[in-house]
Amino acid sequence: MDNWYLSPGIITTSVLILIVLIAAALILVAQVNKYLEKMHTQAAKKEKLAFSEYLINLETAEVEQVLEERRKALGHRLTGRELGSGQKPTDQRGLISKLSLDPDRPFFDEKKSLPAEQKTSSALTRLIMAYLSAATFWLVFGTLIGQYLGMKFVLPELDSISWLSFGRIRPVHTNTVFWGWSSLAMIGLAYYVVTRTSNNTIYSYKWGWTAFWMINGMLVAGNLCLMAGINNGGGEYREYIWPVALLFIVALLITFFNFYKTIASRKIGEIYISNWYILAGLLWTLVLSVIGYLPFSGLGETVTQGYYMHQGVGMWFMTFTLGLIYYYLPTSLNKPIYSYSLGVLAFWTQMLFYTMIGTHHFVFSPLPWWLQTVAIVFSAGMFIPVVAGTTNFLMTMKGSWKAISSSYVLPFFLVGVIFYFVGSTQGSVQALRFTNDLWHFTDFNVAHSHMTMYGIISFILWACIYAIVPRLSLREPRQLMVGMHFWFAFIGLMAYMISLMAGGTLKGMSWIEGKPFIESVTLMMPFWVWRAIGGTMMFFSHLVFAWNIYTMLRHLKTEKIHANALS
Amino acid sequence: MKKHLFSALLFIYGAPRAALACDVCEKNQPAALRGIMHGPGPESNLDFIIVAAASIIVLLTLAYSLRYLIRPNENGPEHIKNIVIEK
Repeated sequence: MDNWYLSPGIITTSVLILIVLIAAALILVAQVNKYLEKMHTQAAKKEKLAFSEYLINLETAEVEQVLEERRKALGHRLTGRELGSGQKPTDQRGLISKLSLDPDRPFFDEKKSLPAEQKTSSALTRLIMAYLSAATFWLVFGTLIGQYLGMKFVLPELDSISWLSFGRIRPVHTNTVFWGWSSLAMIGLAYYVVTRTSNNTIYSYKWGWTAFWMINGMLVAGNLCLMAGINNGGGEYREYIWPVALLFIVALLITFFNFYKTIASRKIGEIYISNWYILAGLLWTLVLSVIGYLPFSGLGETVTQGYYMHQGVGMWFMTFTLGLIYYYLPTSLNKPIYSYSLGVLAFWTQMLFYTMIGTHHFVFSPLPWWLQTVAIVFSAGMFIPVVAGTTNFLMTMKGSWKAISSSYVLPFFLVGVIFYFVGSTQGSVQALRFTNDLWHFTDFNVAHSHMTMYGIISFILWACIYAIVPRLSLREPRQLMVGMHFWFAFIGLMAYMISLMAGGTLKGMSWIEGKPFIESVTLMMPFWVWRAIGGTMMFFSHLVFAWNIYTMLRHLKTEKIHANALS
Repeated sequence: MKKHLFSALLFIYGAPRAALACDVCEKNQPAALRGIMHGPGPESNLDFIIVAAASIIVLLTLAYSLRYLIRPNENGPEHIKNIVIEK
């Protein structure tokens, strides 16, 4: 235990955190650079102003003299022979290949095509906005609950109402941010991707709205049930009872068919890679949800929980979000993905490897040898798509780094992509012998789940939302507010993660040393305070995000009224 | 290098189980996986064929990933990936 900090797991985790901090520093430098440039422009403006003031302070006679000189200067006309060209023009070396006698438009023969957003129908815009607004609402609600839970760690005597007890509202927090925020935002963003890349209108708006109300209905009913103490037992992330969860499953089925029908009747030859990921994510999650709610018992129940929890992250959130990155990242940069083939390879790897690796949670169990061994082999194999995917996204951004300071979408993408690498790798490092012993069952895992679900999924969803909503509503949010959203979310997440990682490590060490349990509780106090501070910053950033969405949507409403008035 | 990397990754996943592998399990496991895995050993040669196939798939994935990363060769303007561009 003397040199515990030299253990490979601890060193790798520290390096991974350092990568994120370096990325943040680079973004900050880019932003500061932009700020300095702005200051420089302002200095030039001031100089101009000073000159105007100089003119104002002049005597009348002096002004007249200045004006006279200026009048003369303006009156000067070129003779056309200043460069000595009295000769007839000839092209002795044959340099001119085309001569236009129409000098009015020598360069601009073609008009720029209409921006894509204008092609989006108002019915689709309304549907997408409904999904994104509901997602925003659930994000604020879900993290408000998270904020309250974080405070309970520091002030356990905060309340004594059964509906607000920790055990009941903790699943309200997780289920709301999973199914309310992430899932609704993902589906909403996918409606745009599916229609645009298929060059088609959505098959059925009615189905889209039905699924929308079903998912929201599930969240309202599910949360009320959870708070009233009606739940599905210890099945983490499937605490909603089956009649409630059925609403989500049916909504997924409807959404799948809606997307499938739209893509099947597409007006272009191939199916763009994003649609592969989106359809596969929906299909896999349907299978997953059904299996997750089958009534197994005993060991079967435990195996199902491991499968459900593991695949839920990999086959729903990660698969679907990857699909969105393959569309929104290249669109924001207006250049294609660096390697499309790698995206296709990563798709099949995700499908095949991820399906099999859930079993690596059961290497201690009496499952068949081949199943356990294949899980280990494919788990190691998952590093390939993660590293290749990260490189692919970074290579796509290559050459556009300067755009990071002038774009409010790209910093979100960059942080999301870096967390994609860091979060995925960290999970594996946690499985190392010493780190597993040290961190398992401590607050370290809470930090890890926030690094992935927040650092990867939420940051990428925000990037996509900021890329698309201004196009649909024709109104951009204020730059300052987007900056506030980004930095509060990022710094808050870092404070949250680092405090829980540090505290979790100390807690684990105290357990290994065999100290009394209560010591490990009291030693966490300062780290839980920092967790609450970080969580508060994250929650504040969500309020800013909700405000940004509101300002863009308000404009959309005004536009609609204007359009109605004109028609 | 690739092989070393692969062994290292395999170790990362296998390591925590090594701490818990008991003598009986040690005996059940094939020599190469002793100390890495817990639980029952292979039941027939079919098990080895399945694991070998999985390993080949992983190695092929690695090879193709490097190929597509180093040289995507998707320069044609008609390539599907270009549909995201707004002219």
